[in-house]
Amino acid sequence: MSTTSTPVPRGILKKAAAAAPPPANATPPPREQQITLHQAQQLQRRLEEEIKPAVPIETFERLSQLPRVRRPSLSAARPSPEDAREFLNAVQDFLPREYSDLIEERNCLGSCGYALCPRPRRRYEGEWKVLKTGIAKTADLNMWCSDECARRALYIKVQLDNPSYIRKNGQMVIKLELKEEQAPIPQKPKDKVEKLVKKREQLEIDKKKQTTQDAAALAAERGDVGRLARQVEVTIRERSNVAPAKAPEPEQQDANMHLFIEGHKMTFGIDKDSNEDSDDDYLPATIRM
Amino acid sequence: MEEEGSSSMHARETSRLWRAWRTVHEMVQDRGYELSDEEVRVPLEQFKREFADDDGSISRAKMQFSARPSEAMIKKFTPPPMPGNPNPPSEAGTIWVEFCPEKSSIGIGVMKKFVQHCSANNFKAGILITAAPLSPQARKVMTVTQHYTQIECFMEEDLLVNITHHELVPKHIVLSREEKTALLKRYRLKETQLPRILSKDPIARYLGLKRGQVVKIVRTSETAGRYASYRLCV
Ligand SMILES: [Zn+2]
Repeated sequence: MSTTSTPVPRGILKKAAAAAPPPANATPPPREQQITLHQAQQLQRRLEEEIKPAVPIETFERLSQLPRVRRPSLSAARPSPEDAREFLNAVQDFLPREYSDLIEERNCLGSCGYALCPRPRRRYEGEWKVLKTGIAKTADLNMWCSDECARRALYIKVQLDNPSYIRKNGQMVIKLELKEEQAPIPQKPKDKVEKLVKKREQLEIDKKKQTTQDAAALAAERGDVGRLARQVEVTIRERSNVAPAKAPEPEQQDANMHLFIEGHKMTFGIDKDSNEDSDDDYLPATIRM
Repeated sequence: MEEEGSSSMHARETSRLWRAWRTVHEMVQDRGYELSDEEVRVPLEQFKREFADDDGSISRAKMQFSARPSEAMIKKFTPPPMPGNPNPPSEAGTIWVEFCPEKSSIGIGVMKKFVQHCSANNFKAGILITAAPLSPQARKVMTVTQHYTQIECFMEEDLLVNITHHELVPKHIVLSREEKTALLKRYRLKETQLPRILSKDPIARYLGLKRGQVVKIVRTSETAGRYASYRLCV
């Protein structure tokens, strides 16, 4: 401020205007420009990837009509390959919320929430339903035709919730697969190879479990308690203390409270044992001792 | 026994639908559409005669009507003439109201059908009254088409009582664009300086307020007499 004490501001403006253009318009260094451009493009690409456009309504309409191929030999456990491919390809772009929307959309049409299932959903009445395994909300049960379909749909949902990515046509997409169906007679794997495969699968599953547990432990250590805090049963009861409130009373030993000065009891002229005695027996402490 | 149960259920549903029917008529009339008092104040008996099926239950599919905007409403929602557009058309047009017979939740298909019906018949506004909530994607259909047909959805249970008839709800009057400009000029305000009302507020939904419209709220006070305040819909 102090430097601009000149009464004519025109001179300053002129200088600035004259000074600014040359470096900007003079031969720009092509290398730097290229780098800047490259960085801008990368940023643009990253933004595009991060803000995923919403899934078009037509996709929901299409997927809520699945399965397209309906034959008696096909079922949710054995969908036609075309339907399975269409479903997986479309759902790869879904957010977990959009997948829930798809289930709701199918339910509106009365279909089972699992997109590859040709059967209608359940229609239990009432709010709750007693099952062999416990009590469940009918709203949750009515989303599916059967518990198997609920599990199949959940299997997809888990993969969307915790995505692992694979490279496909140069792009990273969520790895999705259908739940493996148990064969009608899943008894004893015949040869050793099959056994080994089973074991290895189990190992994979254990490993996955361990990873999530480790992640959870780490999160807990870092103070991310919100998601991990175990639910504790808390019962709030009113205190049943109904006795009338009492005014505080000095306890017996504090009967000489009035003799304390800043926590120190005066002993001059008073005997410790003279509490019960009346004033008549008053004797100086020195004499008593 | 069972007969009796179902008939009392019919009676309850009939009464609910009748109340929703009356509220939506009052709402459309309050917004400035042409409806006569006879059309609005339909007695229960007449309602039953008109819409009951043979088994005594009310058919929602029959419950539909349209209403034309009144002269005053057309004038109020005509934008001021501009040099390039000396005779701008009014934003007010015929409204279409329908009760959705669907009992489970409303999906994309039902919503699309309603929107297509409205645009095919050149309705400027459409109100769909449902017994069940909309699915998230159906709600999206509603907002996507908002620029050519104003689609609104109400649930039957939201219309069982007319909230504006409650004594504690003050009178709300929508301002026209010119009135809004005059108000801002008079008090030297920018519109963002006005207090606000959310477009999802029950009164704003009742009046069909759009974002940017200003509503005048007239209260009566024992100490101050009548006084007005203004809110911008956001
Ligand atoms: Zn199913």
